[in-house]
Amino acid sequence: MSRIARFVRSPGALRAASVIVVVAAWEIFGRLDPIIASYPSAIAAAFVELGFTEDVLLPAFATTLHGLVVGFAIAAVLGIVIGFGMGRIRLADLILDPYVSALYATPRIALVPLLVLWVGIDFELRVTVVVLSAIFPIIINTYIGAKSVDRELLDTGRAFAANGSQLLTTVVVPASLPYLFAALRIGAARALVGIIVAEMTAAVTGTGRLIIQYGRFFETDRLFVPVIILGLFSIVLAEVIYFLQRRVTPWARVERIR
Amino acid sequence: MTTAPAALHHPHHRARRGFLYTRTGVWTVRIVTFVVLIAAWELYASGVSRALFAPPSAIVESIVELAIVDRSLWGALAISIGALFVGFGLAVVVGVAIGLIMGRFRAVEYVLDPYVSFLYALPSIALIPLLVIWFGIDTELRLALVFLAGVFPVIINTMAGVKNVDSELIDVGRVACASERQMVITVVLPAALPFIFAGVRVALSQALVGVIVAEMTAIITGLGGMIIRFANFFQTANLFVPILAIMVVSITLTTLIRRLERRLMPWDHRHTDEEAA
Repeated sequence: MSRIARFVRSPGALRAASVIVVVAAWEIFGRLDPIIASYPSAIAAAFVELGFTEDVLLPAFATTLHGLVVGFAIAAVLGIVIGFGMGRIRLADLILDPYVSALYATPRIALVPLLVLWVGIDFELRVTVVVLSAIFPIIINTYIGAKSVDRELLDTGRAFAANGSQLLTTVVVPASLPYLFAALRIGAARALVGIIVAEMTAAVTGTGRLIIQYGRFFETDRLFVPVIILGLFSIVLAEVIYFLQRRVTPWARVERIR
Repeated sequence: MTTAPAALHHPHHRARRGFLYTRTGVWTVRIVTFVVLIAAWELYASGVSRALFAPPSAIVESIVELAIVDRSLWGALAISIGALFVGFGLAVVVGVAIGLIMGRFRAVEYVLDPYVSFLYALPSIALIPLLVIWFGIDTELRLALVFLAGVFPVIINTMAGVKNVDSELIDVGRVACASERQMVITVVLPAALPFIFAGVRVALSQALVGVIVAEMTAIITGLGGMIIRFANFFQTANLFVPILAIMVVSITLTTLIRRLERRLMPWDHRHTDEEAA
């Protein structure tokens, strides 16, 4: 195969060609009725307007990020503690398992109206929704990780007369790290869904509010700006956790099944 | 299914014997916990306003009222489940087809994966305003949202499964002179089945979220609509009924899929306890 032919068939070239064709087609057909799908140059103009001229993008995103980070941190700490507790202590497992499974299976948005009654529609609501969205996948994956620690590793630890806490810190936690990272990655994705759900349905603030507001006024070009930013942010979030995972657990084979 | 799964249970290793490992022990703990929880809830709720929190006894009354007396629960349930099945069914069929093609043909994968990755990562609720512009506030909106919520996990997991098929199996198929069609049906799809099911399970939960989100935010109908109506009137005891119904639907469907999974591939236990997305 010649060099040119190889370039044309390379992943990068195919992806780039695909994106160029789609953007060009969107630009042409989007102009027919801008309300329906707008078009890329209008969206770019809207991005400049919102981001720099009117300066609404950054404050909205900062609001979203604040709720997201606080909620996710709480969910991660609580979720990992509960997950390990359930994985290592039989009684905790038996007591909590039915409720964790039931709440894990419930779409969290169904709880939003109830949460509004309990915590209002402010920062507390956003954080609560984020925590409830992220904590159950974190608990369940941590639990599976704690449960799946190789018996032989544990026996080796015991043979060296490790006590409970030594066993936990030197065997159980490192052995379940790959599961912990899976837990955090799924948790982060869910946390993002949670904050947007809260912001679009009840709290009406941050990035979610922009989406609602531009949708309501049929400003499709502006509507695409927060939507695209959100999608890209979600991809970056997952990549950051993959990166950390490769750094912290280089021995584990990470199947990239996004 | 992000990591090489280890065996989860070692029944052949020394079984730790103890009360908590017996059937009686398990159920004793579960029942005691449940009774204590309900009693504490009842006690606590009797002290706060009925608009904020409903005691279990009031929730039971509401269940009787909505399920047996005026039967409005069943209509709402039928509406939600109908939309769920149609949208989810479409998502599975289309998702498996696209995932299969992307997994078999590199060129198609590279052409489509920028969009698939982006839409998979995007919380589907963010698409609602756009879908309202396209479909209006009608049934199609709900189907579109359910479909979009479910299709990407299926595509991505199917593709991963197809690419992950043991190359020796493929070689055996080639040696037997299998056509592309035979290869897909007899080798690739069965081998990719565990991944496809992982995708289907994620898709189911996302699709259910899609139905409820659409019903709560855009078209006020079904179980989601019930939640909104009761919440607006502070009928908290009633509010718990659709929430519990959604829980039951979700747990039932997940259990059914796991059963089907075990039936269809008794040889595989790798992906039964993990989640793909």
